[in-house]
Amino acid sequence: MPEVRLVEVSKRFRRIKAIDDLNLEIRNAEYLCVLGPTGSGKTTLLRLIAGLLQPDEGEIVMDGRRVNDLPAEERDVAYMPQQYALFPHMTVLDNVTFGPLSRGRDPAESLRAALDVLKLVRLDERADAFPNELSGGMQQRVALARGLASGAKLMLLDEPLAALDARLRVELRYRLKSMVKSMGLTALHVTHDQREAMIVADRIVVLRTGRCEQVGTPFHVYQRPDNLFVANFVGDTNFLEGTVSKIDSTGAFVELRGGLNVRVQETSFLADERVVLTIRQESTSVKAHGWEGINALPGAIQAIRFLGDSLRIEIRLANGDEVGARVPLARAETYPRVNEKVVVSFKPPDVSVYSTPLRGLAKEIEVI
Amino acid sequence: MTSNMRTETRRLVEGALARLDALSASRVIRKGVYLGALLFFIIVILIPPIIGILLKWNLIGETLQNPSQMAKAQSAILASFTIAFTVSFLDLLAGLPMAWLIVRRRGRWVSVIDTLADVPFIVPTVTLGYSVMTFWSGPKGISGLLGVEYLFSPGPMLIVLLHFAFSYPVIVRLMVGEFQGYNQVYETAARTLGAPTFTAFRTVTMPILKPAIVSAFLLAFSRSLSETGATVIVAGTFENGPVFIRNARRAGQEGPMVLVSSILIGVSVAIFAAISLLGPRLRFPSKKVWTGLEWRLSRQNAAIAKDALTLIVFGLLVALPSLFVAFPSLTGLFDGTLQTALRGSGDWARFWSSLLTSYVVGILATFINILIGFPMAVIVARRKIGNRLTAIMDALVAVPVIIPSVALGVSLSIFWNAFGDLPEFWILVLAHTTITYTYFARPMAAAIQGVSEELEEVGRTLGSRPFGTFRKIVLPLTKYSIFSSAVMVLTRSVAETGATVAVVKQLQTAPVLLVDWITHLETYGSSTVGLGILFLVLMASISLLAIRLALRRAR
Amino acid sequence: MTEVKVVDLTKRYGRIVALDRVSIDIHDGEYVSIIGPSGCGKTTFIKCLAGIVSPTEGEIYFDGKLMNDLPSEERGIGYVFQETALFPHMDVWDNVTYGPRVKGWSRDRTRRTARELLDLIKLMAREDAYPQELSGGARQKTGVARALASGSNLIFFDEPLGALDAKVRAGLRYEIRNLVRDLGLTAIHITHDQEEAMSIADRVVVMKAGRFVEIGTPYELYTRPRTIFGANFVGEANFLEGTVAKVSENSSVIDGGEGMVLESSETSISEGERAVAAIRPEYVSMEKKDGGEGICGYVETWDFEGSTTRYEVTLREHGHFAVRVPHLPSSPAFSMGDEVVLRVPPERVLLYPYPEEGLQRELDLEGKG
Repeated sequence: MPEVRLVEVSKRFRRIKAIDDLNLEIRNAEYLCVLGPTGSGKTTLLRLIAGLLQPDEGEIVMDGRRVNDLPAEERDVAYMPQQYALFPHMTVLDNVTFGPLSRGRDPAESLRAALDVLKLVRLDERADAFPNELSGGMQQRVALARGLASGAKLMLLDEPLAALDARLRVELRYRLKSMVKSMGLTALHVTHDQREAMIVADRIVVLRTGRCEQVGTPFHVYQRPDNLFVANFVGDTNFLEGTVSKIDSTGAFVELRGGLNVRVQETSFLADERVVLTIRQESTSVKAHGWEGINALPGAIQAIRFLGDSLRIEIRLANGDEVGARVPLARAETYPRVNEKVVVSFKPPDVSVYSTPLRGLAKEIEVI
Repeated sequence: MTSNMRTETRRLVEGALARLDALSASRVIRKGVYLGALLFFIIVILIPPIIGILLKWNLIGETLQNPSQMAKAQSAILASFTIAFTVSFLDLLAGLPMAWLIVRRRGRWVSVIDTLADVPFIVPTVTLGYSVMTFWSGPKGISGLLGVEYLFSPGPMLIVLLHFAFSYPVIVRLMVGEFQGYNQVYETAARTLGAPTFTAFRTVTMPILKPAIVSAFLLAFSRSLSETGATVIVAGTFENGPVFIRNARRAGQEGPMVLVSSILIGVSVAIFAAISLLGPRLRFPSKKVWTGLEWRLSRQNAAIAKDALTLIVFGLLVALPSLFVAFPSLTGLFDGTLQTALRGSGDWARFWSSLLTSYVVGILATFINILIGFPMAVIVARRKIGNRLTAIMDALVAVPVIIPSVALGVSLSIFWNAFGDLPEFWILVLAHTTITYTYFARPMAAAIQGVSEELEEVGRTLGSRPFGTFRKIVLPLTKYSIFSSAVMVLTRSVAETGATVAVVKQLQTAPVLLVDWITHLETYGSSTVGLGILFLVLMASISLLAIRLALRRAR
Repeated sequence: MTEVKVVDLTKRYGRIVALDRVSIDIHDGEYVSIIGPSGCGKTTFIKCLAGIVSPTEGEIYFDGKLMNDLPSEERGIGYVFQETALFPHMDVWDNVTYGPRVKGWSRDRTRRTARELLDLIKLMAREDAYPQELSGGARQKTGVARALASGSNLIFFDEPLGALDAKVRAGLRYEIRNLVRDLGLTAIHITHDQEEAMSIADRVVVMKAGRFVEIGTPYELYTRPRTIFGANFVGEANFLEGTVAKVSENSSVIDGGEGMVLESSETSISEGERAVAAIRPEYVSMEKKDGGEGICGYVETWDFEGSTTRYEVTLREHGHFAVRVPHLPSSPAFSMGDEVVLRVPPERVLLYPYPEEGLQRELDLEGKG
């Protein structure tokens, strides 16, 4: 039985709809990630579920009970804002026991629960420290411990890793998820970082301007984006615009500008329909100049970006379109050079086809 | 107390708190508390000063017919506003560089200057009046030194010097706070773009701090309009608004008193509103850059010259005149007056009882303000009534300070006396509460705003009821502000002269008594007056030291 | 076009040493990135160079001229702040033209330069907007345009992308890099995001506790880091403690205890010494258990990362290994519990002496070690 359900929920701030007719289901013991750019309504969503905001329309149901009018202090949730909001005048221990004590639990029991959780996050030795004496990573763990110790079944995490250095984020995200899972809790984790979402989530909800663009497992959302926005937001994708020229039994041909032709496996579009092709950058190969084969598009290397375990090669095709190819460093045959002439290729099954959006591709996928 | 009693009391207190917590869960009760505070503010603090004056509308009509009274009234009012505008400009001109100096310059001497700049603020304005008078026009002061009879005789010039001196520390304090809170990154950014320090200050810092500068101007303005006690001392035969009102009350001329009061109230509110609304539109010249000139102004020598000038102005026009009162005070210590004073004989009996009155009134006013001002501060800080209404409330909370205190006193005594015979004491308490309301509510609102709302939100989601969140999170984080604001209220109340002279006939508070003594110096003698002033200054210094310590702990 | 030379730069705040005798030579037109954990001193470093902070000791030279006593406004630099610091009372146009105006440029020259920059950075349509009305990315771009408009040849970027969404950051960093390159400027860019630094810099400096720990090209830093901290900070790595069992002409053998053995092509550490081996997850090849030589273990968990999958393998002896496998048609798939054998090419096994203060402290990403 789902733990939390949002049914046609809307929330307006002045004229703007921060959440627009949203339907959402959070399953028991699930680690759900809400992924979206700034301004997509992720924080509003969290605050609605926490009870800090009331929806203008729709219902919020928790464990089968309608909670629209239930005040925040009576909902069984632990809310962790982006900057943690640790009580600066209380020690780590007092911060962590605040929840159980406020709910009227026995002081001795609260203390024990707090120490257990502090041990879990490996901060039991700093129980008497004040928040401003701790590093960023430690503060995050205290905030987490405070939420875990409160006895709440649902954790609402607002960009829990955003305030940390990039490298630390990568380290801590695994630990964050395992801690929540080990206690059997349900979590709603909000983020703008799709790589983070892919790794920690059981399911991902992609949000844009208050609406849900897609829901699914990371694998599903990555392999089968429902629309161009998701295709761009999740993963690194190449976009090529063109027109369907010929359709046959196993696929179709799409003509790009400048007369380049691409073979795809889609057959559901009609001739002369304007479409957008998407190909993941890791599925885009770079071949030597003169290579011939399916979908061989000539171009020249504009830039090479070192990404650690891989290279991103930015190529301008002969027709002016720009694409990127992600090549694992370990498998790079030779190190390419800027301005080198190359041929870009990809396999037909790796190409997804979408109708060209009415407002144009750029507006459709824009994130800023 | 035995440990048993202690645990019993603790249990009782915790039980009571828990019950309050549970009560606060009810939206109705919470709204009730806020509504109560709002109503109290509107009905007891805001309305009486405005309505009171209107109740004697007929008297105003009579006075308008009388040409000689009208002439005197008009010139008094004109004098008040002219002096107020002049003084405010001069204070800004002198105070800004001083605040800059205190915040940006390093060295031990800076903190000495910082403390000295507070001196005129510490001493009750009555003492300042006496000090300024003896410095500029007394035989032992500057006039004596220069061999002139009167460098500045009691009158308008002396009033300007007095008002300049007592608003100076207020401006400096305010601007120091603003400069400290000002994020220097804007100035740094301007400099990395190639702007010398003077250009960066003029084109970036000043425009950003414009709201603060406007506030500082208005603050000096309203203080100049309000101040009564000291102005009476240095005015001689000259009359500005407050002096006129005081004299009229003494002479029993109710008509002129009410007229001038109502005009003062009306015009000051209008000016305040006008400057608040138009001030933000005022643009400092910040587009054009005179590169050559400004580079030279940014040089080391120019900066040193500016600092030197600032310090000279401060020393000559503010510090020395304020400290001058030390002479008669110290004489009083050593010539036998001290013993008479401590024995409480003769005039000293009245002195001690007036001091007691001052503090009793002050403590009551403080207590009421804390109780009623707190919910109001929460309403404003947390926007409990929506953004637009909150902005209006925020402006209204400033009204008791805008209205010149003497006019406020007149209006209040009319208002409360209309309900039958309220004892003078209670009207005085109400008057002091009204005047000092802003001194608690505003800083508290700012302090509460400084506590991130997220902290309360997290507290609530962790299961803490609204009152519980308030007392476990907001209170501990604002306790120093509570303390310092309370002490500020007390200090302000004790130093108050304007409304007091307007409200009471029989009762005397300490400053009012001192005004009496100073204006009849021949009767009481300078040692007695000096000693009385010393006691007052001592009490004020203790409270201000307490504030300083509390603020330092808070940081 | 400015050459920067820093010699033994030191900054002390009382007892705290924020910069500890750092030196570097930056060439004309070079894009240098400084990375390190929060509080390592990278901001202090560029603030000293920009004249915002005065160093305690050391010298700073721009094109051979000593800068130490010159205030910021006379150093001819551009600085992009972490919080952008756009003047809130001026619109985009006035912000961008501020530099030229205070420098006394002619109206025409000012207008031309500002137009050009706003065009390059694609903000022409928003020149009347005030900073509060702009999105985070637009504000950042305005800050960059403002710094570039004053005609300086040396630009400092102070965590310019920190406040932005991941996707926006990823796109904007290339825009900025291209702009700097097209204008031929020298740039110093500090960030805590190593991926950002590695993808755009010519050279990267790793900083820790006030010291430059490593300097090199992104490729050098990633494939041959000179320190354990550098190896861990610049990307994920597996660390194995052990003792050097045997050293021959072109290889060493590290004994990790309980039968775990690794071969490395490095020979810098003597026999019998304690050492730490570092291996990047993408260089570990993983196969189903086939009885051959290698490190044995079983798949504990795996994470789908989009274009790759990261496996966490619990080793039979002790500890775990992270293995990263790209999604190529040839890559096999593994499930939880599968018994696997891991092999690493010797040239991908980096060796370091065992750190005095212990491995954990050295690995601390917050730089407290």
